[in-house]
Amino acid sequence: MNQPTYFANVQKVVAALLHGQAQTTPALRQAVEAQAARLGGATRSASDIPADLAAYVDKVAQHAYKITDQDVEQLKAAGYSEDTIFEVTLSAALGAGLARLERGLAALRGGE
Amino acid sequence: MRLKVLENGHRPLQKLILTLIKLGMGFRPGPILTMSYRRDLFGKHLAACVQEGMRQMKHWQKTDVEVMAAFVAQTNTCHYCLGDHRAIASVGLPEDVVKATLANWQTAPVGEPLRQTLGFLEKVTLRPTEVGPADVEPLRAAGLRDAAIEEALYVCFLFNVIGRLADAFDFEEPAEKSRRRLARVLYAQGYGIGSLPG
Repeated sequence: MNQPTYFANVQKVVAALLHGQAQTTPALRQAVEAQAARLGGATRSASDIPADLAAYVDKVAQHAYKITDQDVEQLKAAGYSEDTIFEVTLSAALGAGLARLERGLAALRGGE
Repeated sequence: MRLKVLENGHRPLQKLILTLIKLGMGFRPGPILTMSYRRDLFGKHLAACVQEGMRQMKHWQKTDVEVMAAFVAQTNTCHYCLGDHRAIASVGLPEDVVKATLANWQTAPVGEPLRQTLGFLEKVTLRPTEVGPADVEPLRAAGLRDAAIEEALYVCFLFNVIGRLADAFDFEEPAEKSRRRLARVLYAQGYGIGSLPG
């Protein structure tokens, strides 16, 4: 089957964000992506993320419009740098988006 | 913006271009600030996806994907993206058509393929765990080929990502005049400026 080119471009996003060098470890970014993707019904291995990040990740994944200044200030007060919050937010948003792409494509291919 | 690095952490050339954008548009759009900051990590690659998904599609018109983007944003209660893409869609479509479509996809004054696609994208966005093959049947009945449905899912992916960033980082809402000016530029020229070099 011919894969549309956009799958290649999405894979570039995944490769850079989840496997590239950044302030946080790839393992943390992958765990955040996995948590957000699982909430959207995607299949991912279980992974641990720090408890003080978990609520924020879930909020980005499930109802980002409810995020407040206080949510982000709490992370800063807990010692997370702005660059770490940036990377965690990107990873959570990517996981939520990928889950929807994967679920939609699975339905299209005849799977659940 | 909730992160100061997204306001002022850009490289010198990016800061210069952002200044020019503010002079021309009246504000510095959050998507450009976000996709330009440390762009090798994410923004450069996502910007390529946005340009591809919103301007290089083979099965949909530009107005179709802009309506889909606005609809997904609305479904996620993302006011920033809804405002932007409603304005961009309204460059190419009558405003009352865009408004009626966003008010109720089931009675939207658009063709059956787009109408059914909006219903599908709503479920994929809000209840992805419940999506199954039966949800695709109305789209196929409306004459859509799998490749067209894939393109719609690509738009859905993009705005489920970008909308979350807009809300988490709190993108600045522009004045209506600025938003309409930017909408005309994006409608005509696409998303090539999404991630600034530098």
